Amino acid sequence: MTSYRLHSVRAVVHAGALFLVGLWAVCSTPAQSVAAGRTYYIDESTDFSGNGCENSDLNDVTSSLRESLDDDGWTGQRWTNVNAWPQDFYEQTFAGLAGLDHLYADSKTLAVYAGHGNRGLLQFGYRRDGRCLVQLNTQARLGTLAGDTAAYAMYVTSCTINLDSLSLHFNNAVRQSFGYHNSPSVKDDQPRDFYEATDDLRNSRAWIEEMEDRPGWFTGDNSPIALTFGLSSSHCSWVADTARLRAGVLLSNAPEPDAWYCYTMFDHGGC
Amino acid sequence: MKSHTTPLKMIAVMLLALGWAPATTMAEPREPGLGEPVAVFAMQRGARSLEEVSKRAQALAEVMLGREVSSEAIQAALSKAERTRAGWHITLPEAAGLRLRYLPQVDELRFLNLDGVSQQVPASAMEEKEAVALVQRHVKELDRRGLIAARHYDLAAPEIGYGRIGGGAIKGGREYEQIVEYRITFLRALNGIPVANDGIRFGVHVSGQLTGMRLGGLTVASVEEDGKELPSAGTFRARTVSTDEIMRQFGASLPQDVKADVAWARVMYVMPEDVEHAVVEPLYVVSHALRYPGEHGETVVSRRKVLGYSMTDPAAAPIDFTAPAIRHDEKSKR
Repeated sequence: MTSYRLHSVRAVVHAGALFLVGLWAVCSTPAQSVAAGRTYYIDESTDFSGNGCENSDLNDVTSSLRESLDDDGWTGQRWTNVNAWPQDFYEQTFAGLAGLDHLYADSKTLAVYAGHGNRGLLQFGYRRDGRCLVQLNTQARLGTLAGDTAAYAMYVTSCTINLDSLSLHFNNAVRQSFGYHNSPSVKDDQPRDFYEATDDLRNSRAWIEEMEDRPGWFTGDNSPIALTFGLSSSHCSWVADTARLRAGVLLSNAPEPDAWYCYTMFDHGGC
Repeated sequence: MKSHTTPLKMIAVMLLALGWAPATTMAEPREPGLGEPVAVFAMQRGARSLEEVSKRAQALAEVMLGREVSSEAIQAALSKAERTRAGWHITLPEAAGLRLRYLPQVDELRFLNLDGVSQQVPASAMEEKEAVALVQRHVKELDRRGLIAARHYDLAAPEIGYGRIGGGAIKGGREYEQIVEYRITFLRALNGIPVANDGIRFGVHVSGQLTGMRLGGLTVASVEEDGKELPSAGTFRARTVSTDEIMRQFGASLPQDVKADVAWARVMYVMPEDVEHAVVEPLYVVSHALRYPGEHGETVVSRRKVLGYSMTDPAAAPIDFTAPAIRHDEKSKR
């Protein structure tokens, strides 16, 4: 009940501020929308053997991303394997989950998970408190409730943003989520290259351009998708056309409540 | 490469004449039968000289823009390129909407035409077959300019993906969904067998405007005789392992209770990543994801795995082209 009461209070506060926030978000120029939000949180699982969450071991795809973020003055944390926990993405106010998102995934502007997954699902490599999985629609609330800071979510996982299950992301309150409609093959530096491309490309285009294939491959293995949220149809398009991570454009928290979604993707097959 | 006949090549030509599938047309990807010889090629990739990159960039830029671009402008832009870990970033002052990037590690040129990227769909949107025809003309134009050899690509068998947009109300369902772009790829082929990591890809907006282009740069040591490519620094090996046997091995390798979703499986040449030189024989390549049982009845899907099985050595372990590299140090948490 406490969490519901907190939710209600926050909803009232947000409703009161909605008009001003929305007006600011829609009317501000890209230069004005830069907020002091250069912060990141990264969990990555590469070891899925014998830790209670069986799957194939993976290559490391976020070390170079973190280095690039650090080089650009971003601050944050990156935890891997035994130190990367499903609880980092669980909503803190939800009963029975022992969620810690207010300290971790929802405490920074950019939240990243790299590992395995499925539609609206993340799989961590080490079982913690009997859990390996995060159900995004029922267990996570990025950008809202406790933490209330994440504005961008990146899932380097299979099928997590499948076109036929987009609604599994509707309970988060981020500006954009980046992921895959299928099971992707991802080379070590591709998340870094995506981030660095957002110096002059909008996030949505940079994501699909960088992730369509491993560098040097032409087999069209990946179906990357950028899912954007907004207060209205036009606001959604504006966010998709405007947000650039590396350029620091639109790093502020997303206004709530989302009313619209819009996506762009390269489709080379799904899950 | 210069063509000069050697005993190896003469044998190769005889083998081809006797039984190896004729490669006078590359219209159908071919799968060698048991006992057939398969050609093994030396391949290389690596950064080209500034002059070579400049020539390739100029030709691609002119095709993208549909007008001439001076070589001086390209060279000047290249000399000012921002060289980062992700490649050389090249800006052409006379084409503000064009983004050029050269990836020296894989010798790949990428163009993105921001002026062509649009969410708008014209009333008379270009159909897929028209887009393919347009791209085929561009490939032939690049051939005419000496940038690529069109005969090295199977122009009758494009691989097509789609740029899609869509959206709707959170509480109201999807309100629109459209194809705005065709992603058309031609893989480099060696006598009908495609090469996984060499090819040319075009993005074509439904307005007909090119949105992007990617050109791979693998160099194959081959000579051409009678319309066939023969290894100039490789050899031939006989296929001894059938596709059925390979797929049986693949199935047997799956962990208990794990299922495989095979995205594609076919004979291909695959140049290993992170090397500049390799001798490459065609493999039976299985691109797939694994479905593991998760908790509470959930199924978890692995990231893509790409395994290459030898067709000439039944005892050879498959090559995992997506194998994890070195592990990074762990740090203790709180």
